[in-house]
Amino acid sequence: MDTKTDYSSNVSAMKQIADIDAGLAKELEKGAERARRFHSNWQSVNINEVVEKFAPGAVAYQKGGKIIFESSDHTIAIIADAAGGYLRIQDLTSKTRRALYLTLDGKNAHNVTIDGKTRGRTTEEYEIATHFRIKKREEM
Amino acid sequence: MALEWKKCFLSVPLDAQGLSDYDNWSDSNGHIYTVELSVSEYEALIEVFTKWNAEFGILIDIFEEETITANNAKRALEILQQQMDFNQRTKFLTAAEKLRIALAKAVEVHMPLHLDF
Repeated sequence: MDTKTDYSSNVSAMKQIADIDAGLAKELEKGAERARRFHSNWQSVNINEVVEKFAPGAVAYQKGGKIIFESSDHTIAIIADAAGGYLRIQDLTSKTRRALYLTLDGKNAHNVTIDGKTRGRTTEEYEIATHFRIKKREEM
Repeated sequence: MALEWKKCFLSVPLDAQGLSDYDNWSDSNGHIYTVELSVSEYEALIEVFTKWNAEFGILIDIFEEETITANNAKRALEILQQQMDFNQRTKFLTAAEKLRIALAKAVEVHMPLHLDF
């Protein structure tokens, strides 16, 4: 079973539960709404490739409306939203209080280097740089 | 154990230095009021966050960042207090009190409340 199947199976199961669990339904709606608002800004990714790169062999577990793939050495977590169809990559080794999310090349997304110059990303830029739309099977 | 690494934070910049430190991801000494919530405390407060999302058009969610602006802090505090008057469960009230203190601080200094969940 590839990661995409693991993710999709979890999504289906969660949506079924949400039909009778109003709390979970509300949680799922948050991710769906975030995707509606912002998905056009997000880069699209193949979830198989992302998990293979950052958390190979990870098995999914659920928390709220999220499906989480955690690396075996507990240094990276890929947090996939079940209803919104997007993911974020969190560095679990960061010592900062705030969660540190990474770009697709595994770099701290706080800063961006353009034409050799490094500056801090604005909040909006950071959100765009750290959310990735999960490709559908037919797009992979 | 799954999610043993997960932490949630409430942050209120106390002054201009705090605002700058927060925006620059600097763990400030004395310029940012910070409260840590456990995941279970976050979950206990979901009803409050749902009401805030509806009131302010924001999307407070786990594994996401969101802000109650300085201008909205007073109204957010009213909503929270209404929930605290209504919901007498200990688990909720304990978590809500932490949130209330942070929000009251935001109102006092007219600063935003950052929610890093």
